[in-house]
Amino acid sequence: MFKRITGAAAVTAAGVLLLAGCTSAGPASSQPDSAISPGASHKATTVTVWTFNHLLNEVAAFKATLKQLHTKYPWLTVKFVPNKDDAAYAKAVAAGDPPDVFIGSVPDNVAKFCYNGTVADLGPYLSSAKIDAAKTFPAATLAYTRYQGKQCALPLLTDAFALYYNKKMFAAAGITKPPTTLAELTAAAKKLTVKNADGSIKTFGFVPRSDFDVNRFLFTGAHSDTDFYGKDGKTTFASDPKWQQLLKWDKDLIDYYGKENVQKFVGRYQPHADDAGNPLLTGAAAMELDGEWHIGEIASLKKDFDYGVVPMPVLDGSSGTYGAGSTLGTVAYLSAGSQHKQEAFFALQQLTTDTTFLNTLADTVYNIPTTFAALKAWDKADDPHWKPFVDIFENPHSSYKTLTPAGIEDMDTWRAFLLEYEQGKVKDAAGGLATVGKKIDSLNSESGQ
Amino acid sequence: MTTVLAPVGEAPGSAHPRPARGGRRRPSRARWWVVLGFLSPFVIGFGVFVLYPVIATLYYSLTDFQAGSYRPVQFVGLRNYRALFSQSDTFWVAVRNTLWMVVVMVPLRTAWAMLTAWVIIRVKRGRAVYRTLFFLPSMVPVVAAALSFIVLLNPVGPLNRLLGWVGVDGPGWFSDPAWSKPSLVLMALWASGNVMVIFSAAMLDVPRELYEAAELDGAGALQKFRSVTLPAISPVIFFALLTGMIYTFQYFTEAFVASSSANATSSSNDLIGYPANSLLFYSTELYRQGFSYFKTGYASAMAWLLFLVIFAATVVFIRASRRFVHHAGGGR
Repeated sequence: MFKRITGAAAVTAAGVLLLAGCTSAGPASSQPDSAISPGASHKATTVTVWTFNHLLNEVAAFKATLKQLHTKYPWLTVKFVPNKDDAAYAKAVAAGDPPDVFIGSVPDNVAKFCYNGTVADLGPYLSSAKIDAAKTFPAATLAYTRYQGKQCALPLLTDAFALYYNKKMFAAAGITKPPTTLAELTAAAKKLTVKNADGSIKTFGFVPRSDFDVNRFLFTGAHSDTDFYGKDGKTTFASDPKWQQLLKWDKDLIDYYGKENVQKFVGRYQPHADDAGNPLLTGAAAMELDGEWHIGEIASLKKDFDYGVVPMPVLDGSSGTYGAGSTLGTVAYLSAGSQHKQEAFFALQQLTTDTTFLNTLADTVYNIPTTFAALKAWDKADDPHWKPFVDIFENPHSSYKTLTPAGIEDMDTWRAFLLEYEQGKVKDAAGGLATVGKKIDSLNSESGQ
Repeated sequence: MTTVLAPVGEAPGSAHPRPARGGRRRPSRARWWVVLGFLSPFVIGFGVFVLYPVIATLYYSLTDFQAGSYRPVQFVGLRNYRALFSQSDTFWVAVRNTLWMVVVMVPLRTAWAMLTAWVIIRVKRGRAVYRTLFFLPSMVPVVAAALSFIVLLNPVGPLNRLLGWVGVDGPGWFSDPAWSKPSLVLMALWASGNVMVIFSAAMLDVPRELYEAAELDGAGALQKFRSVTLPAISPVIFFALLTGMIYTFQYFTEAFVASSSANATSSSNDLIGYPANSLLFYSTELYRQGFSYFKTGYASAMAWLLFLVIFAATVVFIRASRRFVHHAGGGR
């Protein structure tokens, strides 16, 4: 009997140890002694780079650059693996075999990975390579790559969001200049709305519902001169009345069209936000908020479409911030568990600061380059459609919300509330804002904020 | 000619007769190794891919473990389980949506399969062709079936165009929160051929004499169905409802594909539950907690709770079935 008990205890202990072992021990921290000198000889090294990019042209652009990198530095071989998302990366880290560099599409996870020690603080690496982040990367990119003073990722192309409008429809409605405030936007939207004989809506001026296309970026604070999080790290939904004004503007415009009509529009066009069925291109909407990549889509889908691009209007009384917007983009990490951190950082540095690569990739995927040098050398920076996006990107008020270790859960919670409010399920906007604010604060405190 | 079967463990024609009761020989150690050797593929597979993950999730569910985190894992007791009930709004949305599917989709799918089987066994000519036609959709991979329905039920797709010709303004199907779950039910009905085949086999197995006796008693078609067919196939109804319930509690693929295809947004996180969380089911919420928020401990607690709920529901259902399931020989 004693033998059986001790045997069972041994098996249980082994199981617990095995399970504990599977939660992966932290990597040994290492500080870079000195940067790799590009001209000096170096031991042959292979580093693995994972990226979320998967389209053929994106992968080709990466491969071409990495090939050039190998030609220039024969000691450095990069094993490039496309089509890997944040979940795959987290699993690889948990399994104890992370890639040396990971390029992700969800900047919201930067703080989570940083707080959890998943990725390395790049500050010391940048210093040893004599790279001043503030002088290399525009401020808007640093907002979504830093967490509590740590540079936990580097930007690799970015997105900005602006108002696209149909010039012919504007002219037909007698609107001479695009709106700059949300009140002007509502007035223009109403003027541009065209109804069918049966009362249904043929053309919507502007549909603001938060789950349509990229409208969620209208509600991060950039267009209402509000901070998602205050200086104390808590949400400002209950304390800043501008959030209520923003919600009221949103609801009033939805009510003007009717909830059911807006639902029909969203249901009909959401699957086609990025193809030839896009409502701006089909004439079902006169204006829409969209990212810079839409310029590329329009160029390939409807070349002769006559449209303009301006910054998204701001809440009345916040005209000082007109020209700013939400900006966020691709982030590149150095894994804390990498066995070749120096070499991996060298590859990361080339990918995130090489002007030719950044501009080639930007032209390929229709994004905005993310270094001052690349922006200066970019031939599209003065194009009338691209310039507003570059201006938004460089605007000192442009930013993304402060990142927290809750990752994207805070935004998901906020978006769920917005949708409930827009559907009329939240009767008391102030009370609802206070409740969702508390929920998000609670999420953040549980996650270690 | 008669065949004499040798007792298990004894080769025919063995020179050694089976020892008398009480004097059973213990198998040799070498023989155990042979048995273990043959069993080892299963033992290793079961241990590595089933037993270990099951025990690991139980352990994780009691910790704050996050996949990809190097922070020390803290034992948090039942905190994850308490958080499920007290903190998460989306948890309850997922529970409500899942229960809706269990209560609506499972009985409808079973009834539909039963009805189609009943109709098909009455077809005089070409029964095999009809049965094959109804069965074929169940052979289509779930992802392919979901994508086909997305195309078919697109707001400007073939079905809505057809409806438009007869003056009906078709709904948003997978894009409208009010229609998204009924659209999934439609898809489930379309792919219910596997259950239909079992029903048609069970119906064909009902003894003819029972129908003849009922006819002599003056029973009509409906009465025969209610008093003869239904009791006779009740074990199959029970099987279809039970397996359907277990499957629907874990409903994932169809909802995930439908949500992602109805939403053009590029972020994978936006896809879960679209539209407006109407397709947020327990398993999709579990996926989001585990693989979008990386809350492995919390997701493991969800998985264990789901296991316990399915286990309890199965036990309750089996016990309740004694009232309506008729077994051959007259017993219930």
